[in-house]
Amino acid sequence: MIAELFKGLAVTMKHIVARKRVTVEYPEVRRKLPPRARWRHVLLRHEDGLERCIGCSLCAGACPAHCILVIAAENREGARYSPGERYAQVYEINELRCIFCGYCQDACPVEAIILRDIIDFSDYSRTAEIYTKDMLLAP
Amino acid sequence: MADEVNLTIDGRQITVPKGTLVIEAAKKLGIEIPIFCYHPKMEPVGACRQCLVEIEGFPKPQVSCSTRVADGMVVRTNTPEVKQMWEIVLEFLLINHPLDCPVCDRGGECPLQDNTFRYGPPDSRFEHEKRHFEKPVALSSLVVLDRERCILCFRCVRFQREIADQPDIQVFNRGYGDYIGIFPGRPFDSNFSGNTIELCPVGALLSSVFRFRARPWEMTSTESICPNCGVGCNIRVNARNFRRVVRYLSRDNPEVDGGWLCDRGRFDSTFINDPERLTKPLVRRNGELREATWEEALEAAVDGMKAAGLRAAGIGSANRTNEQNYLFQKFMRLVIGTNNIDYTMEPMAPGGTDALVAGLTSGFFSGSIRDVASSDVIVSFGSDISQELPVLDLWIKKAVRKNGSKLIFAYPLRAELAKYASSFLPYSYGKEAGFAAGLAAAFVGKAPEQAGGLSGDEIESAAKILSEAKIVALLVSRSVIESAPDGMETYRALESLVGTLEARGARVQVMLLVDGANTQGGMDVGLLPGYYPGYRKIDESSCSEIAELWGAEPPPEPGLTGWDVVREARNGGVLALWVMGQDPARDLVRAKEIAEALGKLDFLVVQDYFLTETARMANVVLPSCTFAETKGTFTNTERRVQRINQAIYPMSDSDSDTDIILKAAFTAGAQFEYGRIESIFEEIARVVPQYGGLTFDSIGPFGRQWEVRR
Repeated sequence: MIAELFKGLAVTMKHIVARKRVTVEYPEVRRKLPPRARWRHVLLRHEDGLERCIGCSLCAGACPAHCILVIAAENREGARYSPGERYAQVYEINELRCIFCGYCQDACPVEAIILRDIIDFSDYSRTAEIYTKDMLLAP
Repeated sequence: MADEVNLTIDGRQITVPKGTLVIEAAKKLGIEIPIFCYHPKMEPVGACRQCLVEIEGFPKPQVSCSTRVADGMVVRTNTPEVKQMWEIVLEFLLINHPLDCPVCDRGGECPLQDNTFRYGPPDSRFEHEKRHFEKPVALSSLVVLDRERCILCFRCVRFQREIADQPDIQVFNRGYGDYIGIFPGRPFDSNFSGNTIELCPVGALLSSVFRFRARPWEMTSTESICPNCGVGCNIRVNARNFRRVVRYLSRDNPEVDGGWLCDRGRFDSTFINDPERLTKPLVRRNGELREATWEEALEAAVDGMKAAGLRAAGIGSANRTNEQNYLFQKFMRLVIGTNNIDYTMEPMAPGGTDALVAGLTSGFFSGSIRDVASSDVIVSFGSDISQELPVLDLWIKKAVRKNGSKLIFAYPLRAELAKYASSFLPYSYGKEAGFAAGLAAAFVGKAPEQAGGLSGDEIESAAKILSEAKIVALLVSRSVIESAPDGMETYRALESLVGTLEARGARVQVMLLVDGANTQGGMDVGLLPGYYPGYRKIDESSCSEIAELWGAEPPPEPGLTGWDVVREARNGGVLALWVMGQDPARDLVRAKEIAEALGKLDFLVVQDYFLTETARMANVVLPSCTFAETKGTFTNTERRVQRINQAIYPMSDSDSDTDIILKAAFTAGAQFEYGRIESIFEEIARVVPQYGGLTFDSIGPFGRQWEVRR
């Protein structure tokens, strides 16, 4: 009977010592996500620093979860945010409502919005999950 | 019949009147032909070439928008050749079109987009640089032009030339280089410039008020009525998220507006979501207006009014709905206990209101807007229609320019319509009665030497035009009867003029022109000191009649008019006043005097959207909702009862005027019970004989005129 006990423990010890570990020690260690991972949205910029987004609302129109709000305004002399006439004055995504389908990225005519592999955006309140333009914009 | 023509379109037979356009005949059969430049209300021009069809016997394809039908014509729109032509024309139009649909306001409701999706080529073969213009260019403070997007259909140019007759916008250059523009240094200054934005089949003409506010698919559309003048043009209120009104669009009511709006109405939408709107009730404490709860404010308002006893008064409004005005006057009569109710505070002629009411109840004022189109002489008396009722001005211009009607324009100043008048009669202010009597006398051959500040010759020439008329539309401004010094005389003179005209066999339609969107309705539902609802002159029998209808007795004595209230306020005859939806201390001609009188009151309640001049003087200010936030009916100048619908939620803590009055009545302990807005209208239909038989549903989307019997 004692022999069985040691036999079982030996199996356990073998796994502790020899086998490769499956658990990733998040957040210290991060697993590499697949190249097409679709998580938090990012609003991109042009090389000269101007926002790519032109505030056309097509992402909001394509969104099946209705989680995007765009309020556009006109670029003015001295306050230019994007090339062309129009820019998004307000751009908000409710990440709690988002289903990460990527239709917004598909609909965007200027490739401004993109779903990146950013997965750590949990928070303590619902309002904190409404991402505004300055939170979404790439630096 | 000789006036009818038979033709075949796509193998289907149809009979249409002679002179019909091929495209209209096709439309009757339900056959769709893509168009850009064609518009049913304007002359065809055939500029865009989109509507090409094959017609047997013609060597080349023809534009269906400018080809008139002929007997035995065989038209084909469904052959591969026609489809190819449509595709080629679209590809051609798209050569210089920038395709910046994502940032274009039209994207989503754009005929060019729609036609391209349906008939156009999948992609462009054009490899060169597109045509470039500076963009956008502000044509005026309201209209913005983007010439790159323009496909040169000339709809805007034609509208301004043919319909508004203010040809401020034109085509410049020729051929490849042509573009739409305005005279350098002169803005696009027209009363109707907004219509060109709606007519534009691409996003070339844009509204600076609406620009970038919303995409078409984000908006809800609510059928409503423009609250700006007595014409009562039908509009669609476009709103975003049921919170923000972004624009008004026209809604074609062929009897009222013909599908056009004036700029005053169209660009007025911004006031609804103005950040200055009142959001909380205010009560004056220690000399300062401070925020209060609804309960506190209503209690203070009712107590203050009741403290004045019989020396209280109420002023309703010309831009509040029938339901709101009806409840207001019922509240004033039954709860506050006064007949001192009026719809305005401007000075009235002695007997002016009586003349007006006599005209309305006897059927003297029974004309309609559409009469303008069918008459051969139009007489306009006392109103600068182009400014006061702008869309009616389009009806008159059309009658004069297209139908050859003659216009007799009587107004003290050389206003815009004077240029269309066969006879322009600038009588002197204050001599309206003399002028009307002179005209009536001249007509029976007894021309006076001089009348109303005009020479006998001038009057006689007008009388001569009238004597040749068979159908006359007489448009009489409310002001010449009600506020001119001798209103009753003017009315009598007009009556005798119409009497003689009719005795001669002419058909005369007299229409009363009122300025406010609901001045007419306000009077109908009882905003008059001398009359109960339905123009019942206040006396014993009408008092008991109303008492029976209401189940409570209204005060039996006639009250003070708005102007009497001003006078009495100065010497303590009126102590408390409740003003709903008006700013008499700023808007009226005698505003200074009125403000001074209001300052002497013990107690003033104001119900309005903004902290107006009048509201600043008030003891209690109640924030009310705009027409876009409520439901109800307006009655326009031709007595047409039209529906408005709720487009957005009430802003912040504001409340609709009906609810405010109901809450005030409740605070005062009165029993006013109405389940819905419709039940108030049902009561109006019971109490006001003119509205008898009307219901919210039977009014329909285009309104119903209340009948006057002659």
